[in-house]
Amino acid sequence: MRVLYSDVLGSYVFEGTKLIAKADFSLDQSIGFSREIAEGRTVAPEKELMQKYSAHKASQEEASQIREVMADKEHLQDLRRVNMKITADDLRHSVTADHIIIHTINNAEEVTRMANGLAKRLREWYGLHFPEINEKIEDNYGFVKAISRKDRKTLMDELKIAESIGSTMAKTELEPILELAETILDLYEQKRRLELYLEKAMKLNCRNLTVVAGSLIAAKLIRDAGSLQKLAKTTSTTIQMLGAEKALFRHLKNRAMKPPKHGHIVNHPIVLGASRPMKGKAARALADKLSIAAKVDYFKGEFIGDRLRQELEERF
Amino acid sequence: MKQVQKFPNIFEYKGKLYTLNSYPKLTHFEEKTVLQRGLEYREFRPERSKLAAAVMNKISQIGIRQASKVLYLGASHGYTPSFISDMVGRQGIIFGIDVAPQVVTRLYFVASRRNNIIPLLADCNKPETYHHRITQCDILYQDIAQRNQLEIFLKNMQFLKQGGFGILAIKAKSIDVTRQPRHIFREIKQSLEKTLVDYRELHPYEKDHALYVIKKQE
Repeated sequence: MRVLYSDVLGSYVFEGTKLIAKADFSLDQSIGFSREIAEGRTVAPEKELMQKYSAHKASQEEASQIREVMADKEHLQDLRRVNMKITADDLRHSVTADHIIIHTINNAEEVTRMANGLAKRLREWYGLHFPEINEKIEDNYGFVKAISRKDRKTLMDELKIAESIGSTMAKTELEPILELAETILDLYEQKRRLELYLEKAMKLNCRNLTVVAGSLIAAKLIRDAGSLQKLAKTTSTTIQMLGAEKALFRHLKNRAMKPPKHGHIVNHPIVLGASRPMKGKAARALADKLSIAAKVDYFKGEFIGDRLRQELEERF
Repeated sequence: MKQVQKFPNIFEYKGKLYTLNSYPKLTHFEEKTVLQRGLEYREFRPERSKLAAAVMNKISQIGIRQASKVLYLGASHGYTPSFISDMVGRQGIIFGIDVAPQVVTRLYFVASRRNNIIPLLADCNKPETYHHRITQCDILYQDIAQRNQLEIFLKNMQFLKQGGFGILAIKAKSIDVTRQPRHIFREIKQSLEKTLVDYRELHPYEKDHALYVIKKQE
């Protein structure tokens, strides 16, 4: 009963617990054969040995026994050396478009948070000089842009404010405030560029999903699912819920609390535009189409995104 | 320093757990070190390691010895593996497997400095993809938060020697978020009953987690 077993260092023929033949692999072979063996294929040295010694491939039990017999100190040191190379190689090839997309969307959100946080500070600080403007311009970006470009007098004329109860500030006191405003504008600009970059990357990686959901929502879905593959594998009901985890698990633990109707997809125009009673149906239908789009994108199918989108828009 | 009974290279000092550093002057996770009689000890925190939590909760056996060969499923950044690296000493070996490239990158750097750790980027659900890269082990340690945790553990039993110890960390919420953790723990206990050596729930260090130690019988 001759048994053939291969590890990353070579192929071996055993008769019982005795090694009767072997074929050592070079380092390059180790790396190459390791992948093939991992995929379940039989590599050339194995075929040769099996033929020459009339050996069959080791069963799981036989493999366990052989591994135990082979584990001496030198073998383990070699095993470590080769494994480090294989892992290094695996890591070099591990970055996918998904990773880049996820970092991009996360950064876009981070930059937005930072900009809004600093804008709050700016409002308070500038408010010492001109508090009236705070209420007049509610949008953060608009506020920052306005005060960085125009002085108080100009703004008072434009916004039709007669008097200000804020104190006058010298140029040197206004300088750091305006510097902050410039920094915040920079961040908003960065966010704008990031979103353009994201749009390009998404169109390249998953056209259908991007057309149906828009690049922002689609990127968030991929991020929350973990990868495009996971998004394609998951159910449409899960896609519907991605982003509403807090509400979802609250409901699962306590049936008295209602389940959420939508997660990230709540911001999609089709769901936003639906009337109250139709929101749930719109969310479900959208999630269904997104599920299809994700699958087509993952398996690199044809472009059907616009047809899917159209079906949704006709119905809602 | 007082050695924790039966456990090699694990010590207790002023209420904290330490391991004897197998690679002196090397730290990887900003852990605190203590020098006593010329020997360096690394602080082993139960808040960061489920194994440490189980030892703090006075588990009777973990099976790890000097020179043990360990298969570690779910090695992550390498925190617990680095301490097992201390426990088994330079003659021991740890195959650390994880599926996420981001953490295996960190593990790789730890392994570059600690020769008894071997990092693998692989999916523990598919032992057929890495069986040829590892050896038979004395210890099978698993810390993977997935629904089919128990199934993965059993699939990887083929790599554990007869008489070897299996250590399984269970996160109740990963198995079923709607059920009571103590029901899940009881079920796991029943599944492992024939081979169970000891187990501990890990609070106050981890919520709704438990660690089981089994011994592979004939």
